[in-house]
Amino acid sequence: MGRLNRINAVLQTTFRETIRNKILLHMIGFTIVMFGLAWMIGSWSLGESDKIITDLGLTITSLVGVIIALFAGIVLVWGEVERGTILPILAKPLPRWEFILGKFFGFGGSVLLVYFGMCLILLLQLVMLGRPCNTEFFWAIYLSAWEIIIIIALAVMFSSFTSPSLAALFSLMLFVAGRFSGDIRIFLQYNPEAGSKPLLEAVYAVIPHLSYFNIRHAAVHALPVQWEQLLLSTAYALVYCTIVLVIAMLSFNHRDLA
Amino acid sequence: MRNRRITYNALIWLGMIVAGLLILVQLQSRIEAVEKGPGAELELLWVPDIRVVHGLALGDDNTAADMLWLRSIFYLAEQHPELDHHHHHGEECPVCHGGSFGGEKHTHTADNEGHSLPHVHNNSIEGKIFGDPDTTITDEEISGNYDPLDFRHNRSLKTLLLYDVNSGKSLHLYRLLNTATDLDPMFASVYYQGAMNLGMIEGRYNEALKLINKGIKARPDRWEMHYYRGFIRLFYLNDKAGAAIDIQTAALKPDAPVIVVQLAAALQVGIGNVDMALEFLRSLIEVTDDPVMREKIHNMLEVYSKLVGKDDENLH
Repeated sequence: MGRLNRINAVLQTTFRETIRNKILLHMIGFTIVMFGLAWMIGSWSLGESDKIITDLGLTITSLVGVIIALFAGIVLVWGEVERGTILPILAKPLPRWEFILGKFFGFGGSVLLVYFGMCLILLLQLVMLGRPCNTEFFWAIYLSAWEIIIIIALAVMFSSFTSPSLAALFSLMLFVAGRFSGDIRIFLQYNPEAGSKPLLEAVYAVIPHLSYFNIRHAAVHALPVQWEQLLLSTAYALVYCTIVLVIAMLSFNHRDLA
Repeated sequence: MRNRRITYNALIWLGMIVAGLLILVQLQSRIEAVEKGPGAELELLWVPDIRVVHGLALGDDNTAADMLWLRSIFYLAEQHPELDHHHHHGEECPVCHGGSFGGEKHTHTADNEGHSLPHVHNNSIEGKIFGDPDTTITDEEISGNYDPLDFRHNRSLKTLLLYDVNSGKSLHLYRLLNTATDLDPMFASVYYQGAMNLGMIEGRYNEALKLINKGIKARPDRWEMHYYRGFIRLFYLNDKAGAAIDIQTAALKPDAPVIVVQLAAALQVGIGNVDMALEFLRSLIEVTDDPVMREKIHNMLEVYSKLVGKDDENLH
């Protein structure tokens, strides 16, 4: 119980700090403006405003969530180290791995709160415009949330052992590579003789397969989503985040904070 | 004193910002005027390769397809500005002698030399078959419900049927639409509305058919695909037999509106296949539960049965 209380304390502090960050408010404001733009663009689309508003709305919420996760997450641990505020915290005593976990859950909770808030605004917009919302719309939001959680885990990991600029670069590269994981899989499938295949296979194994979490086309075209896909994608995200956080905790344990 | 100086400084800064904005607006209009000059059309013609678009979209191919679709709409608006300022409601049409379209009156304005702009004189399928200039079809009957905020649609689609085709425009509309459908094969509108734009505005019938054939393979569930292919075949390729088959196929789709059924039957009658029309209607009435649809089919059976001079057993 003591362990949980300690993690909870770091979680709550991180959550409050993140929520009070004005950048989040600006991002929410920006998102609302983008929703308005999506509505306007949809009205030009010769009868496809439903599709365009939903498409753009889901894309914007997903991207904004990832941007917040990336650019606020990369300074999560580094900021505490630079300011020196981490030393009295760890002297409590608080094991370093508990600190990382608390940071991850606190930051993740605040980002998800903002993300679901944006999704709620999108949903309200769609309802006010009389647009249909199917079950697949909510599953698309659910899986995008897991994508954001993976990015948060990566940002926390890189933040635990490197500078913000490098953490941003690595996180961004993994995000882009992850979005193209589907294409890499297809390339490997149809090019068995490719010389770079072993390297690509290694890369494919390591990068987060973010294509598993993109079912926005199903939301837009009301295509059925299988339970198996949802469960397996969730399990993949859980396992991937666990591995990333373990790496983060191990690297932070051995980091010289002096 | 200090407050006055702060106010004075603030006013100067504000004045500079306002002056800067005014200069920007002037520069924008000058740049846009230059952009419309020779070579400007090259920018419109550029359509990125699908792999580039897919890469830039970072996996959000749906959204990329939406952007390309919008691009094609803006392309049409830019290339065919004459579509925008005609057909004001409330005046009688001097060209088609009082015929109305979509239940609303329309008019044609003159071009710069005072010539009345050309249009398809007879804008209905039944009129095309039976030669009755007063028969009309509505927007909803052609392509389903549209959002009243779709101002481009309200202008452009209504005017499409009243225009002769302009030929000789660029190929790139097809590439835009083809790339959009490659990115999002489920995007139904691009196939049939795109095909209509290609055929009716650009005069590119082969590309229109190619696009809509692609749509039939990708979205065989949609009645609009066969319907619009039939439409293009009937109006622009003079292929009544092919059009009849297409529209009949469209009519057999589960959510096809009643007008498609009516047109399918009328087309069969129009090409002399009254018996086939009757057969088609009889088979449809057996599988239809909708009472409104059944009544309309019943009425059609009555009318067409009289054409062959016999009573139909389904009428009793």
